[in-house]
Amino acid sequence: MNRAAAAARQPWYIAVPGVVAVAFLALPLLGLLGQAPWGGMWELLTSEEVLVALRLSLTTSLAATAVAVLLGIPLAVLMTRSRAFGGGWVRALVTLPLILPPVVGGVALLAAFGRRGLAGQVLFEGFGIQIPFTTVAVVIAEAFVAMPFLVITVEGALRSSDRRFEQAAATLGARRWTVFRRITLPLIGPSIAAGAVLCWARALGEFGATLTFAGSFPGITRTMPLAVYAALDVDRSQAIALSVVLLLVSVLILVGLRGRFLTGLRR
Amino acid sequence: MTAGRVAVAAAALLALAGCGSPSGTEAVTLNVSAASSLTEAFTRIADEFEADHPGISVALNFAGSSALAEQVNAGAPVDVLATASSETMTTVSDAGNAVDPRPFATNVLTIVVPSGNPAGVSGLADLSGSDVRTAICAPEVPCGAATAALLAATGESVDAVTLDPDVKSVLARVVADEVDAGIVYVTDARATVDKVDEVPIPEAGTAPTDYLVTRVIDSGSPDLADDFIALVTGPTGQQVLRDAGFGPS
Amino acid sequence: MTGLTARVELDRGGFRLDATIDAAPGRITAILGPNGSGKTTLISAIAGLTAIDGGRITIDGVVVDDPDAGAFLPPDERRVGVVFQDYLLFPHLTVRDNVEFGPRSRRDVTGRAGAGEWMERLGVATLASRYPRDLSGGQAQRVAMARALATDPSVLLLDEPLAALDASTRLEVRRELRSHLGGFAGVTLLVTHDPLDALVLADDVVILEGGRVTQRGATDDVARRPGTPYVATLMGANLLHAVADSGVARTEDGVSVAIPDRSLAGEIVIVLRPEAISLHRRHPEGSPRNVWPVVVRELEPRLDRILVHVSGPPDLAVAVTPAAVADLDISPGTQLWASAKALDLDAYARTS
Repeated sequence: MNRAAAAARQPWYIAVPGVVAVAFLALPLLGLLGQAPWGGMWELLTSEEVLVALRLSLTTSLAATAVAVLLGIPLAVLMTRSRAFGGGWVRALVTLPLILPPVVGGVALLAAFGRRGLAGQVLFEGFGIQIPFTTVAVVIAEAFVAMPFLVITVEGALRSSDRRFEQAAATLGARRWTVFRRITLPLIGPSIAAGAVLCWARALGEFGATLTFAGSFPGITRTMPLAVYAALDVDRSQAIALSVVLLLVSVLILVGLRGRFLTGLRR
Repeated sequence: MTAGRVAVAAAALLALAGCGSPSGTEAVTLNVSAASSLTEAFTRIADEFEADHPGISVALNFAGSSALAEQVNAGAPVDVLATASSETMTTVSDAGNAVDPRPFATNVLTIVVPSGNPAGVSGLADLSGSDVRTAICAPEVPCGAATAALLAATGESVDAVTLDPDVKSVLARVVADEVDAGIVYVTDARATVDKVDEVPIPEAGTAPTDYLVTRVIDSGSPDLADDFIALVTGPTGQQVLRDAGFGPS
Repeated sequence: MTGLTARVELDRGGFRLDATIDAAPGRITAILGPNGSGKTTLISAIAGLTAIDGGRITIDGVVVDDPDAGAFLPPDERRVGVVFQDYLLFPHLTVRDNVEFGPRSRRDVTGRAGAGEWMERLGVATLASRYPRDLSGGQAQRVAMARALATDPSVLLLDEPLAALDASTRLEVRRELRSHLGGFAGVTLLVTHDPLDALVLADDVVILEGGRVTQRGATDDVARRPGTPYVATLMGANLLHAVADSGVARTEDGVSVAIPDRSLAGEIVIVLRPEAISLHRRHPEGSPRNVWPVVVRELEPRLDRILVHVSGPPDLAVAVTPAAVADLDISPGTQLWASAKALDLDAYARTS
């Protein structure tokens, strides 16, 4: 063995658990791939049912990510820049959807936006608007569960970014909005991208809150994960095929985006 | 020695999980897997069984019929399996895992509405159109298949807002007053009679759901399993099922 | 009135800054002080990044900060350009976008032309499409200057503009800086702890120590007549406080010093340049001379001389040639005689 390889070798108490961890993460995926009905895959993928669910999943998860970006970045700024929002309670609130079982999140969303919910009651009785069982409800459920990923990532980036760049911009005559748009945002751009991708991935895989809050109806609220669950009752191999589709779409987009924001960092 | 330590750890894990091999002093456990809708009835029947069989304990596992069937076909250590659908039982028989499945009860569908029936639902005919928000089971699961069969038999159609993965989800939406109506089993309506109102479907009896029970071929206690099935199909079990709202097979 | 007048009072957790700066357009004023003297805080107050607790700052007659009157203009509304110590060039913008940032933010179209002109003048036009991380230290310094000047400020603040550079680059940039600043008509404040910066670049010097101004004046005057031991040490001179009477001064530790000006009386300051002192093995012959027995404490090699620190009284730094060190066989602990001709020392009445 040459000297460099010897130096790079890890001690067994790192190497063994590390390899076990990789196997632990990889085995279920390999199992899924192994059981997938590859023969009928193409037919399945292009079936109306799958296409409808896939389209719904993509549009709702992207909409949820957009909501998270539009609301989450300002929240992250408030958390780092405002005394009132910098406290532990806001952070706890933001972290909560991460640790809450998604089904509980769905019940909580019903308690807020259901027609007997805090805000939902006003909407229902005042305007006849009911949110559950609509595509909007799917977006809300996904945004609720996924937004913390974006907020926490962006907040971390803001905390570690050098605020003196903003001061320098101010001395050059830039007003606050200009400073935010041309300095603050671009400097944390890679973190926003990373947070948005995490958020989107979480939204794409959302199941519990969506089923509880939005229900499951093809083309309106039945996203890919719900379609997988529905298929599980009739045809296991179809469920596996759908899971593989979800997996492939996620991997493709993650890989594509990763390349893009890595180049963003290098620039 | 590392391998020795791993073996010890594995043994400890197995013991914790309750998977250790039975020793002479341990009580014999009968594993019964049953459809979710049987929760109340089978819990009472298991109590009767344990009273008659000192030293024997019954471990009940309730879940959707399809999931239970899949577990059995995958080799789960189950002695008795009771499903809420004959189709599901067929998958177990076809796999050669069921010993003489027999029907023991039927269930029929009914409409449940939030207390006070705010949308004024009077029958299946009111469930079409977008005015009344209705939750039903997805056609992939037994209660959904039964619903579809009923609708086909009656010629009615329902515009549902959600096709749920199990009957409990449908019921929960009605209880929470998020939908105006739901189609569930009579037994489910009976169990939550204080929270929802029932609007009976006269034609429901024309398409009943059959409940089947069987001993699993790999059962470690075949005699006990047969005893349990006898209790279910005998007068005591049948009375318990009647009380819960099930019909005769 | 034009220029900058600033009376700045600021309390920062036990540290108090209380300084007055007046600076005229077209002149470069150095603010010279040791670390922690409040220099950066002072600039930050003038730029509007820190609000003052008391006093008043006006730029070209406009009050930009006056707590008593409740007046405060934020940084973006002041005509103050800042070159930060580590430049703070925006890493995600090219050199051109960095320099044009100011004019663009002010929606100043002619200013963008001006940006190009400053880039040309500071020799960074050829770097226009580069990103900051591809610049050398000296280049980054010039881009930062161009960026600050492109906003056409009334006051230009340079915070330790040479501190981030390595020694050889510093010499070069210092030389260039003077000519670059020649094209700027406003007030320039140059904050530094390096007296060379002040000597080479500044017309006027303000000495800041412990949050207070201890001396101010034309650079040459301050260099010639240091008012505090800090300034004297900075300028490389020995400083003795003494009381004079008829051509003889007596220091606090009892040393007698003959001084050239017999008319001086009362408290005076004596400045002894290291080059004006000689070291001898034996008591030197001849008169009139100031001669003191001293012990060598430390030898400090300089460019072409060796600075010999001796303990007296008085404690002195003496510059000698390496040859002299060999001749006199000097090493720490050696007992010697130090002498200075009366005509070689400066003495002046103490002012405060």
